[in-house]
Amino acid sequence: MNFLAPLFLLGALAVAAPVIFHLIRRTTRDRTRFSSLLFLQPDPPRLTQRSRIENWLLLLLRAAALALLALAFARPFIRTETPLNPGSDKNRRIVILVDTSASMQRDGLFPAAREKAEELLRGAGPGDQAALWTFDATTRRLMDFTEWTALPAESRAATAAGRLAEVTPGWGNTQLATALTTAAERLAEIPPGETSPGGGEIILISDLQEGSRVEGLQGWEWPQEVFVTSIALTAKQTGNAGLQLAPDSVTLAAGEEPQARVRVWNAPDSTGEQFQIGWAAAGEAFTGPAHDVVVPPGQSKVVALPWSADLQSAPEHRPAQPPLLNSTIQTNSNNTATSSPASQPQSQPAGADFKSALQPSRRILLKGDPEPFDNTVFTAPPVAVEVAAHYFGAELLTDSKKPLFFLNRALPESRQVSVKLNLVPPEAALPVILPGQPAIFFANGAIPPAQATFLHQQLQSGRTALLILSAAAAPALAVITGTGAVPLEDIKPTTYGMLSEIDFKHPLFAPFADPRFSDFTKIRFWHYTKFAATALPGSRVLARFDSGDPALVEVPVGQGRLMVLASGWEPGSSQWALSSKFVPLLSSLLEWSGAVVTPPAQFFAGQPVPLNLLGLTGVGPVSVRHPEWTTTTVTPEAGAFMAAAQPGLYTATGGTLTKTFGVNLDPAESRTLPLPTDELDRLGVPVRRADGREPGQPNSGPAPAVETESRQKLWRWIMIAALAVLLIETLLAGLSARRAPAPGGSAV
Amino acid sequence: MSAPPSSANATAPPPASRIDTAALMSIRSLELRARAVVEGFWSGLHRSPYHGFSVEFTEYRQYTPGDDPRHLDWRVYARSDRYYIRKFEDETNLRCHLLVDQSHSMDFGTLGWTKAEYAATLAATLARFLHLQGDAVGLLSFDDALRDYLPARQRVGHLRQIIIALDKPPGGAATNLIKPIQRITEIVRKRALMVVISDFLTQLDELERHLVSLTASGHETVLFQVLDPAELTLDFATPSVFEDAESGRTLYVDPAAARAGYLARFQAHQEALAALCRKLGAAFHVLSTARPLEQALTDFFQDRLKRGRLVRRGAR
Repeated sequence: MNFLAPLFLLGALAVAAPVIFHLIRRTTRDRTRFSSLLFLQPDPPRLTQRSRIENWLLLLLRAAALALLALAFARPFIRTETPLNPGSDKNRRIVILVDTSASMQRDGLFPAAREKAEELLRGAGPGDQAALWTFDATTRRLMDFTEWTALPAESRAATAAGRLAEVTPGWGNTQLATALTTAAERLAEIPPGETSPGGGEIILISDLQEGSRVEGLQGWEWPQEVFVTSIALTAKQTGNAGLQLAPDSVTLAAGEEPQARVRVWNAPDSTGEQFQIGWAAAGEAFTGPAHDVVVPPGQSKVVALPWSADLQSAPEHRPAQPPLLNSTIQTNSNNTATSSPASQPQSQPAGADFKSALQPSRRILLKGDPEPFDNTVFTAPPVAVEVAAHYFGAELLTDSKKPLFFLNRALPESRQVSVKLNLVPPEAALPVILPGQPAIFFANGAIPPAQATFLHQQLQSGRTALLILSAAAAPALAVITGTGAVPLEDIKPTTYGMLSEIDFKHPLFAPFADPRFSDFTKIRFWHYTKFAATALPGSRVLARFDSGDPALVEVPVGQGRLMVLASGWEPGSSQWALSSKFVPLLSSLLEWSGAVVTPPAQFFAGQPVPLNLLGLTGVGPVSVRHPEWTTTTVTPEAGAFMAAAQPGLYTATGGTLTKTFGVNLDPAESRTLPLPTDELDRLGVPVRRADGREPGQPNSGPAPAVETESRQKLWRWIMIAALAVLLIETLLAGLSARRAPAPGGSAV
Repeated sequence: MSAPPSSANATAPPPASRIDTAALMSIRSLELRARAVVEGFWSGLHRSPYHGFSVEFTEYRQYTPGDDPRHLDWRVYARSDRYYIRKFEDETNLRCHLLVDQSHSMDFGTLGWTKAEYAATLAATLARFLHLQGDAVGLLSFDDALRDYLPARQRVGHLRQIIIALDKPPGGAATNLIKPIQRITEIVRKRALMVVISDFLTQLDELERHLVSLTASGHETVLFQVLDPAELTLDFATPSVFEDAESGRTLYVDPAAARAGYLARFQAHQEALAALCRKLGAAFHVLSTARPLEQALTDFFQDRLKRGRLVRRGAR
């Protein structure tokens, strides 16, 4: 007999309670005040008649009731061996999923996983089909069914084991849901030569940490005849502290010292709570003062490290011995190519050597944690982005009746993003704009054809311009959009015009979609230019006047777009510039157009790095230099850098632009507490046994304890027995009380 | 006091006239309790077929000028033609001193009232009775030290003071019988009746020497030992930790097991105390608090009458 909650059996100790209470009564604490103890002498406790148990049957019944209650609460069940596929004598199909995520770098985990996998592979019969996959952020097939069956039976296990021996845990996070669903789909496929899905078993070898991504299993329909056996590995050492960049990790607020903010997280099962944190140099030494941090287990603390000027300007050091990623399984997307310097030695240093060789001045190190895999974060130095806003029009900055006056005051200016206004009068030379340089264009009304042509070219290359329309701007509009002449007509409403039919789904107006901010009725227009949006092919009306005429239209031009505004924002034309919507709308325009790009503070290892987030669109092929000084070229069509497999500082160069970005370990990997045992069950995964089982017997195994117990429900019968015993006890006690009504005559 | 109604004491008052002890002790006022007992006792006397005398004739002596002519015995004069004066026992010269134990050991009772309350009622009753007879009554209360001392007087309001002193709650950490006896021996030089009311639950070694000095001074000594029924039988149902009312000392006692030893030691103590009293010629009365006070008084007076006759007979 097994127990689901064996600790409740301790409750059976309560059997001793009646006897103990009876004996305790002997040494009473009652006090009697007596006139004089002159004639009394100390009386050593003796076994008297009262101390003896008089009614053994009652005692036994009460003890039995307590024992039965304890037994029922312990949820007993009888383990039964249930076959995996009852009545099936087909050859087995197994996918062995080996976790190679970063958390498997913990001491002794991966060798244990490899050992388990090899044992399973050796136990596969000649008719069995086995596949060996590894997974972290991505799932990799070291050996699939087809290759397994193609190999001679005697060399299959050895070949697969040999491939697994070359694998070491990487830096990706644990996408457990993706791996399980991919493997389940593979098993659910109809095997060649058969008519029905083969089914089979997924043997999951993982540390099943809390940070595993299992959300994808929610609601996923698990295929029939596919079961999962999980072999949970336990690290030799409990507890882990992790380091992660805080969301607003690098601050560049005006007037403040730049700071890198990191969060130190300590697992609930950790034993230590004192750590040191600081900027790290080569090796494990701090370059500056180390900060002592006390983080109690289960808590986290954010530490701000000042980013001194020498750190910001420190050059990146090429590692003397360029390290390689621990894992030799590199994923190269189709449109990327990896090249290594010819002189680079092909050695594979250990993870610690690898980390210490990386850019020493831009990594933050945590000391005091026995698990080193998540104790380093890389962060790129803060760089202010300068955006050029070119304004085409014959206006003065001081003329408060013109749009330029308000634009100049509304453009954002901070230490992180600086938008510089560049005036381009009609007679001035055209500005020189380098590929990839962030820029946005504004044009007010009629502009010379040369400028219109220039704008057209810029829009073709993917930039954005905003044209304030007037009746005189018809030729310019035609040139910029590259369409035919569009009839324009100046309209002056009898009272005023208002905006209506605003497209809040468009990124430009999306920030105003909330009903608290969506009231544009206070912006009144005194006059505007009427045009037919349909005359501009592909145009999208983002807002209309209450008369139905378009107010703001997006017109695609080449890779870029032209925003046509039917009215100016200066007070002479409308109240737009004076409203609270003007500055947010302008910022929205700058961000949406791609002119202002605020790259995230970090990317995560194993996940794609979109080039647009780096502001490297429209600059042709981008060359990304890895931390170990190898280079990967990303074509514009790819749109993202896929080979950020390891933490470190990467430098992307496209055109004249160079961006440095940090790639770090996913913080979820630091959550090394085991996943709740029933989590996979809860998500609908047919797990055969939560705590693993003896390898080599995949076809049969004990059913999950919870399931068996809930099916057998032995506790109900035990509870009934306990109630029956209590009933008999009550009757007996009543009878004996009637026979001997003297007080204190109870048996126990 | 020397003249308890002899014939009246020969027969105890009928039980119907007695006041139930529980009812008596439920009276809060000590004065009322004493009055109730005394009046009941008086009424018992009046219902008696014998009428007593308040004065005792002792002898004749020849008249000498200056004697009060009221005391001339005219019958003797008629017979002998000589003036003789009748001499009576001088009642008013009798002084009674009540020595009342008010220690913590007296603050014990299992019947709803304590030994101290019973003793106080007894003392108050005696005081009232004597006061009504015109005797002078004094009080010396004590615990481990002397508490209140009121000299023996027969004046209006004195009884009230005695009752107030008796009504005080018990105190003290021990019972010290030596000090009050020693003290009263020093103070009272004139022959008097000494009534000691206590539980006498103390060592008797020193007591004998001082009682000797008391009786040797000519004082008539009466010892009332007030005891609770539980002290006489150790009748407790369950084992418990017994706490000494005076010293606070605790002792685990299983009454069932300890009863025999207790009773043996207690009996030995009682016998030693009784022997001591016999030896010294002191009257010794054991009073259970369950016993009606009137009955106790009757016994006392009977005993006293007997003792008085013996004394007189011996004197003649």
